[in-house]
Amino acid sequence: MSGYTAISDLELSLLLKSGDAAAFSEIYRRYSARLLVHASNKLQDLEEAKDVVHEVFFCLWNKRTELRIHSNLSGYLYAATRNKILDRFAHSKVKCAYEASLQKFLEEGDCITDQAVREHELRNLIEDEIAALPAKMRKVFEFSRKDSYSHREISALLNISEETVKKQVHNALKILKIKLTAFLF
Amino acid sequence: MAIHAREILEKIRNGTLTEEERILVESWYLQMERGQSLEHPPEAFVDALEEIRAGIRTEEFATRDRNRQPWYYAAAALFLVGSIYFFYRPVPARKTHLAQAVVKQDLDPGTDKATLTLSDGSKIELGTGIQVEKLSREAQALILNQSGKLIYKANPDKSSSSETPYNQITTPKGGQYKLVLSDGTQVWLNAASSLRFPVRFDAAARQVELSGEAYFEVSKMHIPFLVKTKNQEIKVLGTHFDVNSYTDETSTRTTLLEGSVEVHPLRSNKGGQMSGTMLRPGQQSVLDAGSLTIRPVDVQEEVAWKNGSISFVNADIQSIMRQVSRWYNVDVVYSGEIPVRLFTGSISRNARLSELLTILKLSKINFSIKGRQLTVSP
Repeated sequence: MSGYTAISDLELSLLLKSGDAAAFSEIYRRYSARLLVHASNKLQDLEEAKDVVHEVFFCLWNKRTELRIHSNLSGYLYAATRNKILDRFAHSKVKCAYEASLQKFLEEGDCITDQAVREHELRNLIEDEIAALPAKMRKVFEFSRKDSYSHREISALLNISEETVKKQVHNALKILKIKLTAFLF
Repeated sequence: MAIHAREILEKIRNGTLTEEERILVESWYLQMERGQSLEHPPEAFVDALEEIRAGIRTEEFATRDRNRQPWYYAAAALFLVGSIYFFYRPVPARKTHLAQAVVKQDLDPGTDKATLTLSDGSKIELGTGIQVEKLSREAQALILNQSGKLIYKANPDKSSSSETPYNQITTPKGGQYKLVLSDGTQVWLNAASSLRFPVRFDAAARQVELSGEAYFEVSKMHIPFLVKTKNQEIKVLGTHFDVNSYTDETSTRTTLLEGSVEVHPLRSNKGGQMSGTMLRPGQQSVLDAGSLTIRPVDVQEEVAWKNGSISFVNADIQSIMRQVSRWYNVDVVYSGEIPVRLFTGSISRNARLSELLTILKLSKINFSIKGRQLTVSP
């Protein structure tokens, strides 16, 4: 299980597509916290934000076999979250507030026509929000990161050499690469 | 002009945005006024993240997705209700008529409740009714009770060398509780279980005593963490694992999800103490009458209870009924010859007893409930 924390997003996406629930759990661990924080800031409501994050990951799991392999898993997740939030703006009881903001933007704002740039800006926005969080909120990110120890930390905890740790991680990846190859061809 | 923004919101609702409009909306999203930071404590976010994950089923069983109700519609329920899936391994063909489950009464599932015994012997009843309550009657730690979770925070200034007081938390049948120890270790205590633990851990060792079932997420520290049950002792550094040591189950099972543990039986049939056996993630040790074996398991299966499900894989009716007995607080009685069949299935722990029995009744077993007694018959 701990081998998953060393796997790249792309490899996780491939594993997820083949139905690997542990890969899904790892994706959840990596991204759910920041998506929840972002959604709760945008919606100003933790309960609504929970719904959004639930939907994003629920859809991700249910559509796992249909996923077009995204070399950009995080981009996909951020965009999915944004779209569900936009949906909620449109259904909101306080729609007029959003309307006013959107109207102002339509009159004065600058469009970002390039999708790649928008995607990049969205990532920056979310990461800035995380960086701006007060220290006590760091606990929330321990949830997502608590198993991502460096080789040195792992070796100190388990009292084994760093070399052994590196070898074990390498072996875990080797097994995955074989698994992935078998899947692709 | 005001209509324009309204039209766009309408189109978002209907999913009919044009490419141009999508560009507008996504650009607006990026440049919106930043809202205020919400006033929730970090724990609320962590709990939310756990709840969300628990609400997404990723087990490998055959599922009937039709009745999947969004969890936020279930009144006060944390987990998906309605995700009921089930199949059984059939016994060589025989004709049986569809049994009628005679359930005149229904029973509620368990809730968060437990009894805390302090070091002076006094007892406090714990439940979800109380929001946040300080139970600081121990000198060495501050105790908080918060909606089904008991939290111990060591008093930093009170590092006395005198005898460390022990507390004990006990869940009744139909109860469960969560506990955070003074080192941050989280413990989920299942029904009919009990954990004895020091109010504050000292620098040498962290040791707790368990009867029943608990799932641990141990804080990673250089001080080993020991879990002692009637028949074995487990040594851990920092990890997630479950210990099932009910005395009415024939064996003590320890399931490791992450990290590493060493399992020591306290008595062996070879005489003398057995040396420890290391477990790796995904493995379970089974201690049965002094004999310890290791096998691979589906760990999510083993800790399904902690995530809000009653779950069984190739289980006979008796072991399912023992789980039912503990969670629904019923006495189970067998009448007549119960066929030997193995079941695999899962249901939310928030389901009322009748829902669970409805599933089992499909496998042609009769049930009747009278007061707190459940009778199982062919």
